[in-house]
Formats: sequence, structure tokens, C-alpha cells
Amino acid sequence: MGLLKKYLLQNQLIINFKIFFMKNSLYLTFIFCTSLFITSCDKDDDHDHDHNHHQEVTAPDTYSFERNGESTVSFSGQTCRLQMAKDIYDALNSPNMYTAQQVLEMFNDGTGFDYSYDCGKNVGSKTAASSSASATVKPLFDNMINELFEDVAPNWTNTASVGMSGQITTSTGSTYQVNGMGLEIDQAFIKGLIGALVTDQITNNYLTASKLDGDGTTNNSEGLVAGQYTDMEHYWDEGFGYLYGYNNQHVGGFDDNTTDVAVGTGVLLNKYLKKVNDSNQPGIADVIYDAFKLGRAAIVAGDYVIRDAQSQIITEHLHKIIAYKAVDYLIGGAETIQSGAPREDTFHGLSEGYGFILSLQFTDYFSNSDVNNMLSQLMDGNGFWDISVDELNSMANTIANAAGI
Amino acid sequence: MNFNKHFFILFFLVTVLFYSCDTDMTDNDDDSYDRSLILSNWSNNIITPAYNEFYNSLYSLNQDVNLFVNNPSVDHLVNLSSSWIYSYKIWQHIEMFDIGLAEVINFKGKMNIYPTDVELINNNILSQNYDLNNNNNFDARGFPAIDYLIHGLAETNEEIVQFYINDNSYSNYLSSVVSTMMYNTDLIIDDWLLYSNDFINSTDNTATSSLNKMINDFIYYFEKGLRANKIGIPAGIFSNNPIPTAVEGYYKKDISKELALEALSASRNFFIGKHFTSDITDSSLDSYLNFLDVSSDINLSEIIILQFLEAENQLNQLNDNFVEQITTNNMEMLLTYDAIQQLVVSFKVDMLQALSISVDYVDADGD
Repeated sequence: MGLLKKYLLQNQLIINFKIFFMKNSLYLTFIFCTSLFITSCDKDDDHDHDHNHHQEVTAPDTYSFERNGESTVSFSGQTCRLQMAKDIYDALNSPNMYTAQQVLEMFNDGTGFDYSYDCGKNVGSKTAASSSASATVKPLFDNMINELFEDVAPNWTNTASVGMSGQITTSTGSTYQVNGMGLEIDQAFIKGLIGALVTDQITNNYLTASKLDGDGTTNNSEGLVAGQYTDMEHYWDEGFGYLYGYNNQHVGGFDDNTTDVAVGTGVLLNKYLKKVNDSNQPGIADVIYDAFKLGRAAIVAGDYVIRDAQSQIITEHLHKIIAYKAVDYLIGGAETIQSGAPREDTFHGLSEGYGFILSLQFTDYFSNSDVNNMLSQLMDGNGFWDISVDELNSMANTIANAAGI
Repeated sequence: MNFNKHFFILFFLVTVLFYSCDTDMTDNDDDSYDRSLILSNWSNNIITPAYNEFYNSLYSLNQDVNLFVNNPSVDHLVNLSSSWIYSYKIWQHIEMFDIGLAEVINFKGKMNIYPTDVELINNNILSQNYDLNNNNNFDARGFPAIDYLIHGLAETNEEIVQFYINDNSYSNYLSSVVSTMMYNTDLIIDDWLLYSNDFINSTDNTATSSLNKMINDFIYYFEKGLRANKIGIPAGIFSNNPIPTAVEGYYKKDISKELALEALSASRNFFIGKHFTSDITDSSLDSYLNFLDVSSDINLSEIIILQFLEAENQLNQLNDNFVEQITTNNMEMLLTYDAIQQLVVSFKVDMLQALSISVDYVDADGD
């Protein structure tokens, strides 16, 4: 709201106060003044949205919103990208069936999948794509695809050793394929996407005030018919879609992350939302889901103070999930080494940890160069073959302290 | 009913409510800054003198083109090349002023679209039938077209000179490109001299006020013209692979960094209000932000000035020749992009919020 308009409102309030004062209708005046106050105090200083809607914002029971009886919630683009990410992850685990070129095509062009997607989307262009993401990150993902096919795939069934890629077998009989540093690339890749794709898009793009507000006309609902959404509503839904939008119904499956607050299917953030909700911080899933609902309701009501508060709650908790998992995997690795178990027993978990640390640069806790330092420390020398218990614990501590967990 | 008591309760409540309200709106309440100071500094000390110097540089460039086409020689070519570089550098101070007639006729689109379309240029030369003011020729004119015509026709200067000795239509095309640039610059300067008074006097905060438009133009230029065109696109930020052929000054080869540095310093000068012809600084965005004192513990102006320094340092690490930089170590290009991107965020998010100005363009990158 412009400066002038604000003062006009204040003056008008005083004038109206006088009129009502004369009429002895004090309580009515108070109600009137208070409603004016709420209007003039709206933090939405820059925009001329419809201010008649200001009442208490109530979230619905589930994330469903309608205009004239038809749903306005849409995030098919996110569903598509999350499905593609799952397919890319599967392809990275079947290098005998694909080439690097094919997987790069899936990643960057969104084509070449077994299932023929018609959404016209891809994962690569939304990887580390927010305005605060480092441009150096996206090429790391391309490089991981190349490295997996060029360096690891040729030794897929050979036994890995220090400096030599290949297969490892844990003491419980699980087998994984790692590079010469003991890093399992598909894990680094997919856990990295939890930050670079999902968290970055939600918390550093769609749920930011600058994205939602755009040029100040993004929530203009004038002339919208049943089922049509405002840009702002849609941006919020797209953020929602990155967390809950995964399903595999396109290939006849029954996975669907929209059916509850923490279903946990798929390979990205929702899976770890469930894990953290089940162990590290019970109730976190409700907090996040409620904030998504209330924020969306606030957009419909034009209340951007409430909207931004929900955005902050979501951001804070999603970032926490990444920190929890990075810490868990680092400590898990340290404990395994300390127990005297074979080194190889730690590689799978540490590789997941590596991906979560890569993801940490999309949280409020660490910068790109902080994360690069941590990753180089993990890969220093012979990588996971000679990382020490102290290094792992100390890194875990740093992360836990930064995240306040 | 005790009337006075109720009145006082209400009065108290409303006062408290307004008090709490006002603390949220300090940005607006304190904004008594005299915007005309900024506008007149921009107009009198930056835009007008930069336009004048740019016109002079084009005038010299045109003279050197005449010299060369009348008597094609390696010496004249080298001479022409250095006036092209000088004028191209001054252009880096002009491109951001997408205001007035410059916006209407898409001045920047007539002067600096790259990569240039070599096939189209060659077809035009062959047909000898072209209107360089027609937008069909948007990528066959301006500085990038001259770059191709004086550096890119062949490997050596001697071979390039031969084109002009052997075939008059090369000379004609080169002359046409420069005279079209002069013609349009003339129009822009004439219009600016008429328009600058209105520009200075439009001090409101509305979407069409001078300051709002100029700041938006500046940020748009910084984001697209500088960050994306000079660094991002060639480094492959917006594509699957780097596109080294998309660097500015592709045919001269060793000029890309110099032009980018010039553009960065022009942007910084604009932000701090440095006069075009001297080191004197007057009112501009930095003083406006300082006046608003955006937040007690963070000084946005200082942050932005530091970010300019970091971006300049990062840019300085690069090879003069961006094609070589991209093909040998593109990571440095990406780090430069990161450093410039930090400024984009500071301008587009933090500065606009502090100044209570809405962005007038949005990226269409949704799903």
C-alpha cells in the first residue's frame, strides 16, 4: 500500500471516529477502527489487492482449494519432474541398460525415458536453479552421470579397492558400486537432488516473497472462472508439489504422496520427511503440512503476513530434515568404523551423507563454498577408504550446531 | 454508561494498534528523500555526458571506417579496430539506459545483439539489398556485425583487407552498419535532450515515474545484458552445454573480459552516482539506501559495493579471451556468474524492497 493511501486511511479513521463518537456508537466504532487498522497494517505495502477479504485465515482440513466449486490446486509439472528423477535414479543403477548420453538426455531434456512423458519438463533445468544457487552445482550432476558410466560402470562387478572403482560387499551381504574414493554415485546424485531440486525450488524459489509477489499483480483474481488459479496460488502449489507431488500412477503403481502428511514414497525429500517424522522429530510432518495449508489459505485471503510466516516455518523445517539426515549418516559412519566393522560397511551410508551435505548449500545453514569444503574433506586422500572417526564426528557436530539440532 | 472511560480505552487501544503498525512500515514513513537529486545527477552527470562521449566515439569510428574503405590497408584496419574497441567500451555505459525513445525504438537491439548472424550478413552483402533499420536484420548490425566485418572475415588482417579491395559491397555494408548506428544514436540523443527535463521532474513513486522505470531498467540490464549475455549464456547456464560462440566480441577474441569489466564498472558508477567525466560522486542509489538506513545492523549499500568488488575480482581472474576460458576452465566462468548473481539478488530483492519499488518485469519460468 502506498504511503499516501495509508495516511488517507488514518485520516479517514479519525473522521469516522468523530462521526461515530457523536452518535454514541462507541463499540461499533471500535470494531470499525480495528478492521481499518488490520487493513492498514497489512504488510502488503506494495500491492493493491482486494482488501475486503480480511478476516481470520482458516486452513482447510486437507490441501484442497477451490474457486467456484472447482479445484485450483495444480502441480502436474512437479509430479512429472519427481517421476523423472526416480527414473534417472533407476537408470543410474542399471548402467548396462543405458549410456551416459541417454541418462544426460533424460536429465537435461526430459526425453529418452522408457515411459514417454508428455509434460515437456525436465529435471536438469530446475537443478540448482534458484536465484541464490551457485551456477557451479548443476555441472556436478552432469559430471556424476558421466563418471558413473565412464569410471564405475566398466568395473560394475569387479571388487573395488583403494583408488579403484567397483563393487563392494558389506558384512551383511549387501552389494554396492562405488568409485575409487568409495563414493556411491547414484546416492550422491539423488540425495544431492533433494537439496538442489526439491528444497531449492521450494524454499529458495516458489515460497519466497519475491517469487510470490512478482510484479505485484500475481494474486489478482479478478475475472477468474471456476477452477482457475492466480499466479501466486499456483506458485505456492508448485512448492507444495515438489514435496508431496510424487506418485507412480503413470506406470500403474499405487504410490501417492498426497494421501497423508508423510507417506514417504519415491526417492526424494518426502521419503526423508517420513523418516525424520518417525524418529528424529515426531510431529514435523504435521507442522510442515499445516503451514502449507495455512499459507495457501492466506494467499486466497490476501494475507501475506500469514503467508510469509508459513513460508518461514516450511523453510526452517525442510532445511532441518536435510541437516538431520546429513548428521545421521556421518555419525552412523563414524560408529561403524569405531565398531571395527569393515570400511566398506560405511560406504553406502556415507554416500547418502555426501549427497545430503551437497544439499546443505540450499539451506540457510551453509554456503556453496562451506559445502565444497566439507565435500573435499570427505574426498580428501583416499576418500571414504581413510576418512577418520574424528573427521566424521566433527563435521556432524558442525552441521548439528548450525542447524540447532 | 461511563462515556469517557470507554473513550479512553478505545483511544488507548487504537493508539497502541497504530504504534505497532508503524514499526512495520518504517521504510515508507521515513522516505522523504529528494528523488530529484538522484534524477538530476543521473541525467546531468551520467546519461547526458555518456551519450555525448558515445556520439563522439561513433563519429571517430565512422571517420576510420571511411579511411579504411577508401584506402583498405592493414594499418587502416588496425586503426579502425581500436576505434571500434573504444566506442564499444563507451557503449557499455549506454546500454542500460533503455528509457524514452531508446526503449521505443529498441536502441540496444539495434546496437548490440550477439552472436551476430554471419550467414545473414553475407547474404546481405551478396544481395546488396538490405535495410539495417528493419528488425529482420536485428542480428546483422551494430557492434557485433562490425566485429565480424573487421576481425572475422578471415584469419589474418592481410586476408581481411583483401575482401575490401576485391569487392566494394563489403565496404558498403560496413559503412551502412556504422551510419545506421550513428543515425539511431542521433535520434536518441535529440530525444533525450528534450525528455531529460521531464525525467528529472518525475519524482513520484509509481510504476511510470522516472526513478522506478530507470531502476527497473538498470536491474533488467544488469540481469540480462550483463549477467546473462556476457557470462551466463556463453558459460552454458541456460543450456545443456557452454556456447563459446555467444561471447561478446567473439571475432576480436581478446576483448570479452575488457567489455564485461567496463560494463560492471559502468553499473557500479551508476549505483554510486559517479560522474561520467570525473571521479566526483553525487546522489544515487547508494545514498538513497543509506538515507533509508534499511536495517540497523546491515548496510545494504556497503554490501552491494563489496559485492561489486568481489564480482570485479572474480572477473579479473578470467582469460581476456572468454572462448579460451570457457573451453579450458568453464568453472571460473560459473564462479563469475555466481558473483554477479549475488548483485542481482541484492538489487532485485533487497534494494527494491527497501525502496518500496515493484519490479516491472517477471521471468516466465513457471511450470
